[in-house]
Amino acid sequence: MAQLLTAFSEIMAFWPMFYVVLGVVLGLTVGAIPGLGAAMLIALLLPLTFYMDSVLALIFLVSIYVGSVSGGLISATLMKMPGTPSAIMTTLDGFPMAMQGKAGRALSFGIFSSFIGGSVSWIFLAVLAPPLAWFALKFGPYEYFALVLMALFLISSVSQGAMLRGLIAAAIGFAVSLVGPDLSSGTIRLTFGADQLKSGFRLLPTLLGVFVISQIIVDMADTSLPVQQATAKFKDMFLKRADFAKHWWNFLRSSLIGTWIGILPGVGSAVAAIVSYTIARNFSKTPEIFGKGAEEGIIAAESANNASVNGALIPLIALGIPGSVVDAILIGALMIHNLQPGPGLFVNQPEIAYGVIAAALVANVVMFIVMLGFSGHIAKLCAIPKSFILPAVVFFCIVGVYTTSGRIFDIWIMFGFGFVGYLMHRSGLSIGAFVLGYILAPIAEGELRNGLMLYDNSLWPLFTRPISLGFLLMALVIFLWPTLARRFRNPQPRPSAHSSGQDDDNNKPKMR
Amino acid sequence: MRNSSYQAATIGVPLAGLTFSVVLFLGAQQMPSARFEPMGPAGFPYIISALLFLLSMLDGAIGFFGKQSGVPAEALPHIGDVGLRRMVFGGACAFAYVIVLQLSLLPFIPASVLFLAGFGLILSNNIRREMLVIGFAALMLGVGVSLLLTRVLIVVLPGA
Repeated sequence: MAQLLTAFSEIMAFWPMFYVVLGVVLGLTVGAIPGLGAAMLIALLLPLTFYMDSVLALIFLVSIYVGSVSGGLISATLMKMPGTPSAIMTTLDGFPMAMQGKAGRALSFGIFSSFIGGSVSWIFLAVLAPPLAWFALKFGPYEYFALVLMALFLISSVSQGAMLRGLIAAAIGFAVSLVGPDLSSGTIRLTFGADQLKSGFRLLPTLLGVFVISQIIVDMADTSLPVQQATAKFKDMFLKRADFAKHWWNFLRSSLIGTWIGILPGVGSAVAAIVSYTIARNFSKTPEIFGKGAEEGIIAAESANNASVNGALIPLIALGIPGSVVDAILIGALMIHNLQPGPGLFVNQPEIAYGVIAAALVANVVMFIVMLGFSGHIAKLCAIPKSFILPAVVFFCIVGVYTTSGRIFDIWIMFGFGFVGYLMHRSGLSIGAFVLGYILAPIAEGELRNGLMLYDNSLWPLFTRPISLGFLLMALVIFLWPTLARRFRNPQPRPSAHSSGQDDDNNKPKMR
Repeated sequence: MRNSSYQAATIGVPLAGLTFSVVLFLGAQQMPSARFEPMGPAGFPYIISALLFLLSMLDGAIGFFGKQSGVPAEALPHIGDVGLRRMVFGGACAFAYVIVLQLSLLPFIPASVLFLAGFGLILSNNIRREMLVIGFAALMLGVGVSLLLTRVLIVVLPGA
């Protein structure tokens, strides 16, 4: 507690607050612009943080994360274009409300929901992360290996709906990370004689390639014109007490759902919003108005997606396992600053761990204030043409990669991964699963090899140690869940004379 | 178009997985055997190679028997002629910029300004109206970033 208070007192100084405000504003702006997003912006700014103090760099990146998840709300409500994937569900009710002349009210529900979601989940972050980290210090190599396996199954299971393709993407990510020096023996692996690859595929060109350059290619191909835009008035941006009294349970439930889904490694805010929205609709007294401007829909989606941000930070700082794709990039940021993500962070660099926790709350408050005051202005930035934004983004990528390594070859690697990322986009392979595979591979390999050395070349303790067995069982459940869920939803019909050829549609899962 | 994208993904993904698997296997065979620990540097590449092989074969089999195994291309809109042209020319512009820097054919600032302006004009919907603004923005960005990097962050930039 004392360390957390110290972190708060330190963050209130000029430079930390400057980076919080700058990060939130940048995040909100980029989050509001369709086609850009948190992963892209954070990857793009990683080279810049190279020159910053580690604590300030992490504070800056976390603030961007908070801002960008919230910023998607603005374009989703005013332009029917979700700025980020996590705002897709907000579009369903935000834009219809805006078209009914209630844009300010729709935005205010979104802003207050984002703030409440972020605040509720921050309590869990502050309360759960330190004890979880202390608990994780007891983990042996096999526990970590099993945890990585579970995280990979989780991300694969939610990646664009196809687990097999998710696992293939993760395995390719593993393969890419194997190129270069083997950390245990120093042997150079898989370079096939190419000296330039002796240091492997470095983090920054790989991340910028698959996240940013691939998205630029997608955006270049998209020739659609801006859509109708609604406007909001400042005086409509505040909720009344009656609104809170009416929706308090939805605020709380959605925040808890978002927090829980955020904690699950690799799942992320878009899934949190979808699950929360679906539950809100199922429990609503008026489900028929969902999709036509339901306040409940906006609350459910926005509370959950913001709550998932802090939820996802829990496994990141406590276990060193990314809670979402953006967290995988934050792990990259820690690595760039020579910091070891995981439970050791609380022991060795408590100022980083508690700084991140404090920054998450302060950024949430700053996000709330900026969104209330400037949503309309931020929306105007969405009108900046691509011909200005995309060249600048590519330029910053090239300069960023060159300045961190001093090698033009890394720029070619970035372009190569950009093309690979674009092909993945088009073929239904999850980029998130690929990146998690790439980030988690060294952990998985290192822990497996340590485990084998520790237990005399035996894999048996992986199944006999309770925690690792627990993680493996959870991985198995995740793997089998799609099949089991289908069984539960579509029980085999009993053979009956009346049922043959009839009512087949009743057995199909309904999409509402 | 969607159907052809789906078919390309159905064949392409297992093929890509198998290619990665074979490359990993061949690379692992060139590595020294384990000496001080059970797995050695080749152990994990072999595991991932086998895993990729199995997953790709399974994905290929599912695709071959007509069951959808992925979500191919449906989230992306159809690429029209304009989009394709932008992708090709934009890619060529970025490629030329890096070549110019690598071979030091031009100093950093003019190369960057030309790249930013050229790329912007390729993406522009209204070249006549936006030309001056794009040119001005390119000049500001190119010069500004160059000064920031060389004067503040003391970075040696590529180019002649």
